[in-house]
Amino acid sequence: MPVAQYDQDVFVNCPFDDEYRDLFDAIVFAVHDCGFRARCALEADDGTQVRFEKIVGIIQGCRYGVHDLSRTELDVEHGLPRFNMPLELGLFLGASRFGGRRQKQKNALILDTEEHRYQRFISDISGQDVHGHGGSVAEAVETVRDWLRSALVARGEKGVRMRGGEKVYERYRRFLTDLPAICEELELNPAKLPYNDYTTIVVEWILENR
Amino acid sequence: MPATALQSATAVKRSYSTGTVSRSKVRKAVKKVLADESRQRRDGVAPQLHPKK
Repeated sequence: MPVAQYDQDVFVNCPFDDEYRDLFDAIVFAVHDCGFRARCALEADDGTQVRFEKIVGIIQGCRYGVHDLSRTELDVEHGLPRFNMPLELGLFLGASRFGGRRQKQKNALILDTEEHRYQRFISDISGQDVHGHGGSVAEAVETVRDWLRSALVARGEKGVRMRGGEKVYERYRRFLTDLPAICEELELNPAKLPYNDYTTIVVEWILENR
Repeated sequence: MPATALQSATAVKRSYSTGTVSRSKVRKAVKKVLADESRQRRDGVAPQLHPKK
């Protein structure tokens, strides 16, 4: 489990399935390229830890959270929806509402495919800003970047420079170009990259491409 | 690069330890690939951008 850095850590509450993989990887890259650190349940593969406890611990350790509610389709196998993302958004909002001084500083970015679609399936969060990414990686990257920039301003760091969203996306494309060769060097399959290896590669690539 | 980005990336390097490959190996691989790419660029062979989205 990584050392907590509350003000720099971003809880990524997004689907882990293959269909969402492009968006997930891009969001994780954007978070790091903007000077923050992405955290999610995939970072700790500890069979002794109850999954819910692991998620609670990560939420507690993150000032920021990206919550994507776009996965509302019924599961093909069981014909049922998946409620993990809304549950974890609820935990995050609950921590912000009922937690101590630090927890009350929490800041969430809520994403969906369309801006107002959530009102049809989770209307209780009406009044919150929900951003639509339309399934576009570029849109998701730019939205995450703009939100993190606003978050820095909100905590009084107005003078901090941050690349624009288009530039972050361009860098992500360059990273994707390099990723297969990096994985080849490491004898890893880029299509089945463990989360911690992916983030380590992201960080090292960013350090070499400042 | 924004100061916070550098700060965060350095912190991540310190704090992650559960990957299947060590950070030093990753660093070496990244440096090698980027060096190869520079050579390709000098030779006029631009790397392909990911075709998706």
